[in-house]
Amino acid sequence: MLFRLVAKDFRANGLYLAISLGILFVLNAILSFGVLGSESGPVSAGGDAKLTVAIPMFFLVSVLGSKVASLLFLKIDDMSDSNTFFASLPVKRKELVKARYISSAILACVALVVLLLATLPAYFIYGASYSETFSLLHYPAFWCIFLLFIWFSNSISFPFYFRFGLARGVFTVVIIQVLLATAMVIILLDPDVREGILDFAEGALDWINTIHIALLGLGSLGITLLLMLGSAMLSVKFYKVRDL
Amino acid sequence: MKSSMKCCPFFMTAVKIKVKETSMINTLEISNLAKDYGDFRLEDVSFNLPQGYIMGLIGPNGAGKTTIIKIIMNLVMKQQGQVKLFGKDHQEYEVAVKKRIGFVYDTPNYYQHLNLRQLKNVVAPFYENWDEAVFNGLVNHFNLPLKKTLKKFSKGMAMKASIAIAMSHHADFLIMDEPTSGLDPVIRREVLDFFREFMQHEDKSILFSSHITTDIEQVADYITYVQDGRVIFSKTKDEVFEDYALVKGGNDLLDEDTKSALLGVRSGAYGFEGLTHNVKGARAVFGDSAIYDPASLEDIMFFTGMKTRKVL
Repeated sequence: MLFRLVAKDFRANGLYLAISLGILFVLNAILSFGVLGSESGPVSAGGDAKLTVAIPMFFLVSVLGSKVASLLFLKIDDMSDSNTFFASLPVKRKELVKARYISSAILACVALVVLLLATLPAYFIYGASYSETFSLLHYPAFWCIFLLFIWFSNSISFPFYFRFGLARGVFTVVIIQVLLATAMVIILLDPDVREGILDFAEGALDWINTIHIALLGLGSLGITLLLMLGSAMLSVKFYKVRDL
Repeated sequence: MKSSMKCCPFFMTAVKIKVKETSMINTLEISNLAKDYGDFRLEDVSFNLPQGYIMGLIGPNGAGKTTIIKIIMNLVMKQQGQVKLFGKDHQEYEVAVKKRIGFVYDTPNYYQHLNLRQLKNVVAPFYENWDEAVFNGLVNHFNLPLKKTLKKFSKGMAMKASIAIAMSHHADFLIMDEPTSGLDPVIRREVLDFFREFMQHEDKSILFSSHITTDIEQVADYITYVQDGRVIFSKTKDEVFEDYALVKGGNDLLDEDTKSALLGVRSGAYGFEGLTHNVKGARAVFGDSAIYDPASLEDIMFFTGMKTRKVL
């Protein structure tokens, strides 16, 4: 049943998926041409500055783009009220929630692959093997971190969507994020606390550096998957009693 | 049987009432259902639908018809009471009972970008009993285009498409929320004729809500009337028309005492018109000075709703 539900999402929303991925591809391709165009020729004195702008831009487009893409099916269901329709079929709500987690995780992967592929035309046209930005962006770990970040972020926000619906859920998550950010800024205003936190972060980073990269990757994946599992259980609990 | 039904619409009711006396299996059993939304409350809703019958759920807009249907389908959570479908609890055996149900919305607006064939391909895998031949038969019967996107469907076509989707897995119980509202008279009749055809199989049942009382009068065997979240009555159609009557007479017959024999009354320059659910009692009060006419469902809804409207 789970497979049928996931397949249903892709079958029913194939057109919207293709359009969304197409938009992401074009956006990232344009960004790639822009970055490589500015980096072509001998590396200038401002090369580092360009890199510091280019990397966050890629990060923003990639993470935001794939995050939005991973919510595509949720958005379509919310708009067309197909949640109610599918809950009227002989399917348990638990299965509907699980399927949504799986299809969103798959969508995030697909979106990141499309975003990576979008960098290739510029890469080949400029022959830009010297580009520092691209040598970093084509490092597989970079994309794995993106993927884990999106899965992690979705795990935090999905229970809110299943509890309140997508629009109200997004609103709630944004409010919580703003409150947390404000609280963080207020806390960091105290120099002693700020120093303590920075010391802790430095210590944590030092400790992480001592861990083997493979172990670190597996550990991060494990923690993210555990979080997804817990999040899915919470979402099931909410969705099972929600009025549709 | 089909032709005899067409020439004599009450034939089926008569036959079934006879069957009812010997064996009574309920397709739907609802007891003491309650749901509180704060500004609206569904209270102590109880009624049964025996297998092989059509039940019309009537009531004004906002009376609670859709909420009851959504609770039956477990789309809205009940706070109290019990719902049994085919003798089984609707939540405990949710998947099993839903396999035997065909559900039709009032406004089917999901997946408008797909065409009917694509929608069928999305829905069919969820039903083990999906019958392609039945689906194609219904598509032909309703003259529906398979390749046109659903957003280009008229309201009538969308409703017929929903019925085709809901019926293609050999459902035993058809639940529909306002299936005829907003349809033109030709398509409404087509849909009602389809109900009759569906009911030729004696193990099938239909529950449909509507505020178009003439539709209910035409096809329903049982009528459940809901008002302000409460069931006013749930009876066979014959019982309803036997119990209720319109009393008409001159204004001189009306005073506080005689008014109490009526459920609702309106008076004008030429006299009064009121509803009673106790014809014998009304005759005792008004005698032969008044006229006693059969009440239509619309009359019943209008006069029983008068109290509420006055309060509001």
